[in-house]
Amino acid sequence: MNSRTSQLEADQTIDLRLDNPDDGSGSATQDSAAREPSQPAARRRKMTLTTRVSAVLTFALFAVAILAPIVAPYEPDIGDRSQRLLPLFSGSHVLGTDGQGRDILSRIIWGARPSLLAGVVPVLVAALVGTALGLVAGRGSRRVHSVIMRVLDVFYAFPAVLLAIAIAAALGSGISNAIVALSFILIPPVARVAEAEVSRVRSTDFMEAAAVSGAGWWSISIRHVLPNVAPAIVVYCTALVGLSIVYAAGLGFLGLGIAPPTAEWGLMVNDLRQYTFSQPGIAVVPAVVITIASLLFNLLGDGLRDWLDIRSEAQ
Amino acid sequence: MTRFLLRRLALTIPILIGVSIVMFITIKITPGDPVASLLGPTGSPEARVALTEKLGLDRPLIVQYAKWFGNILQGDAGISIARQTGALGLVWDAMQNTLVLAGFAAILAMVVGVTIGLTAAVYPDSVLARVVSGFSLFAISVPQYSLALISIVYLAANLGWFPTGGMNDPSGEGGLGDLLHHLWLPGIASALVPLGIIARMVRSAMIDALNEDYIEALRSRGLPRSTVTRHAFHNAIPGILTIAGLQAGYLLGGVVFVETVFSWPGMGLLIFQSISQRDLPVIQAGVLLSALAFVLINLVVDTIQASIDPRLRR
Amino acid sequence: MTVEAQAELVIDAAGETSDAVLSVRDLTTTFTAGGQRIEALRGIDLDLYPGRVSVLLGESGSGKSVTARSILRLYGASAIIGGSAVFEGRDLVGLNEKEMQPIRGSGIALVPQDPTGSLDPVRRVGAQIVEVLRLHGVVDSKKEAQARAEELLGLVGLPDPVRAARSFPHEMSGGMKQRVAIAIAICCNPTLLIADEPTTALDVTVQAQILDLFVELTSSIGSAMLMITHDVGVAKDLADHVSVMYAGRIVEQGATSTVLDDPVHPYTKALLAAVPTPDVPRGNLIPIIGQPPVSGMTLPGCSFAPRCPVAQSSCTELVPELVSVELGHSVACPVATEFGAA
Ligand SMILES: Nc1ncnc2c1ncn2[C@@H]1O[C@H](COP(=O)(O)OP(=O)(O)OP(=O)(O)O)[C@@H](O)[C@H]1O
Ligand SMILES: [Mg+2]
Repeated sequence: MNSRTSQLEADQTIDLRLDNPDDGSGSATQDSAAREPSQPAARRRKMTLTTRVSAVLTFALFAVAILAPIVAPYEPDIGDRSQRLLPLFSGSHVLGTDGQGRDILSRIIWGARPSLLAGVVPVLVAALVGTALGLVAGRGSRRVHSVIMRVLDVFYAFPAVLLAIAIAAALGSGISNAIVALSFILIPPVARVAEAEVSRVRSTDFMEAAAVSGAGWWSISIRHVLPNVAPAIVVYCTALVGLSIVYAAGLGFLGLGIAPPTAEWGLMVNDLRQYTFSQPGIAVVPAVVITIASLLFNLLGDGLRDWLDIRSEAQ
Repeated sequence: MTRFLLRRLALTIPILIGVSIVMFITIKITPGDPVASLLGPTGSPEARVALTEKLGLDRPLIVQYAKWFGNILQGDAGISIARQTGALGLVWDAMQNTLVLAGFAAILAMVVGVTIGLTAAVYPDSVLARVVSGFSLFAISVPQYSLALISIVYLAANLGWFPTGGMNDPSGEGGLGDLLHHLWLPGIASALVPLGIIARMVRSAMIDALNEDYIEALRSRGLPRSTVTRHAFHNAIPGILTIAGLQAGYLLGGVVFVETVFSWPGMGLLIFQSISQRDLPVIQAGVLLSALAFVLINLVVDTIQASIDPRLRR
Repeated sequence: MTVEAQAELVIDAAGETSDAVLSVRDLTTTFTAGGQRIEALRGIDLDLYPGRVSVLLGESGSGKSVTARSILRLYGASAIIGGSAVFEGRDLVGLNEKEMQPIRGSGIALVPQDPTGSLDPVRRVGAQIVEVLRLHGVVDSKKEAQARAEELLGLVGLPDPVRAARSFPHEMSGGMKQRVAIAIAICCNPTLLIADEPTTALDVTVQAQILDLFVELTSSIGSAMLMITHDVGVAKDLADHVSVMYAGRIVEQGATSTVLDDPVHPYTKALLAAVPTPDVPRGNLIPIIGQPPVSGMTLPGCSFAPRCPVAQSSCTELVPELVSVELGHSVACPVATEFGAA
């Protein structure tokens, strides 16, 4: 019975029911043509074990970042000169120590804070701005639509990382500038997904019904369109956090993120790579951590998409 | 076909103008006073005014943009602060080495990715098919710097199979074989992710193509399985190319990390060095040139697509 | 129909199947995909003769297309096929994919329902014909194949064959594409031509032209033809022989004149009563009450019993066999044949 309770908990923690509350599952008797195409059936689908596990691990990751002062075994920025470059699994330094004798595990734990921050915040910004753009483009006049989409095309002409580098380098290094730069490159893909979703629901019956009932543009957008496009956007953005973490650490690696000696995963990659030959084990630790964190969000996004049965070409 | 090409070229022009505007904006958002930084703390107010006028910074933004754009067209994207030569020229030279690496990676990703994807589509129950779908999720998660580091540690440092960096043997006598020897690791590190994505794309595009109605019609005429597969592949190519074209952007962005880790003397390494030197003109020239290359690659991809699928020519 | 043809038919129905091109006996097809068994065909008997047009008549979902595909063995492992289909002395049901390939296209050719779905969209039309010609070794050289392809395109009535050969499918209308599909089907002079509702995707004016073309071509190359349709009018106009299909079984078959002018099976009667003809105005049509059985559902006894006006309690117990009511005319309905024969 133990596994049952934990399943229930998992269901509750990552409930993505964003559609309006009056659309209960008992509303099957309503006029089906005018009913909003939400996901009542999807709720009954079972979430896969992989999705549950990645959800739990994602929460653990955030918890570790928040509780860093408690869970980190050592001070992240204070090294012990006599303990330099210890290999993996050496006594109390499970992940070894770096060139200044600092505990790598503690630095990874503390580093999760800026790394996750720079990974998550740009996605939140992009989700807000991108959804707004997608809504305006998808529901606006043909003119508005084409202006927005053509401007997005321009951003797609840049290799994304390079545009982020150009913006971050122009603004100067620092975590807030890195976040600004990443937000810019993440807005176009979110806006495209949002636009596609809005166009999909635009032609449905309930939209016409809402328009006939005399509801205003904003009212329809917020009360009817948004609840229907939100699940797809949330799922897409969940996976996007994975990419964003990789990019954020990339900017850190290049020296465009937070300044040393503060622990940050990308900075750690660049710092530890000088020991590739002398201490290969520790050299790859931050690189592996970034990969795992990114994989978690991608797994979670993928699993949520299947669970909510969202058909989307979003890549 | 000519009409298609002309129209496609015409569509490219506003994109390129848009790209230049974005680049101009990134120059303008740089905090600090460019005149003050050029003159140093000792500059007199008169000298300031004179330099501001000389640089055209007192003119409206649109005029400044026009002048900047005119300069770009003449191959002048500013002077490298660290190296005191034309930034575009510097980037142009480095770009050639980058294209060697990115081109090699692109070929690797296409050849291996298509082969794997095709096999997975034709034999849907094979282990390979399952690996392909699982691998692609890993592929979009793993950063190039992680891949580069891990491969350098295990394949170059530990096993000693490959050189750990650079493009040629220091003696300079290595020739093509030596170049290839140096290419493998950075090539694989760059190619692995696009390879995974292409493999997955080929697989799903082929499965879709094999489910089309005309496939059964072809079988009903007695065509053997291999011929039917070839027809399906022909139909799947345009979709595959779209994804492959997008991977070019990934490759061009990824070289910053891969070249840095492998000390490959290309544009990526140049950008990495320029960041620590705060050499903005070089970074901007590099990004601009990469965007141009990316736009051109997609133009070529579209043209190939149209030559393969007649329906796209209209 | 000539007297000779009538006489031939009589002999055929008496069990003489030696000159039949294709002889299908108790053909069953069961789909097993998705953990569900769908019995699409529950025992089909058909005999097809050279130079003769047989029509397989039935409403949507009765299993007409499945019959065509099962004969050509186009289903993979997803379908279990039983019974026999003897074509030129070989039972197709027992053949493997390799052995089927030379028969498809050259022995038995298929014209599919939707012309758009029958052509590869990225290959030129001429090249698609050339490919089949060369595959089956009908021609010696590429040049000859090209010439033959253009000749075929002219034969099926395309006004500018040379240009047609150079066109892509999307540059053609539905009717033109169907002509191309016919050209491909006849290019290797097949012994048997199966046309699966070849005109349903076309508009009415083109339908008649295409059907005429079929009749003309089958008689000129002397192949047997199985025309699948749900249109009683088409059957009347073209067929020498009609098989009426319902829920995966043949319920009545025989010479067109006997079956369609003097139907015995209640389903055939109902089907004819539901179709407008010059003598029966639209207002007097009688729709068939109820729905055909859902595929996947196996009813005991006669599948038509739930909708049948003359059904008796015994009808839901035993599956009725095809019984000869007169020479060349068999019916699978004990109730109707008892009274009909009496
Ligand atoms: N591949 C398949 N898998 C499962 N069931 C199938 C398959 N193909 C056909 N069926 C089922 O077999 C039945 C007969 O289908 P078929 O396509 O032969 O009908 P039809 O008589 O050709 O109808 P129509 O006039 O609409 O073309 C249908 O109920 C269909 O659901
Ligand atoms: Mg059919």
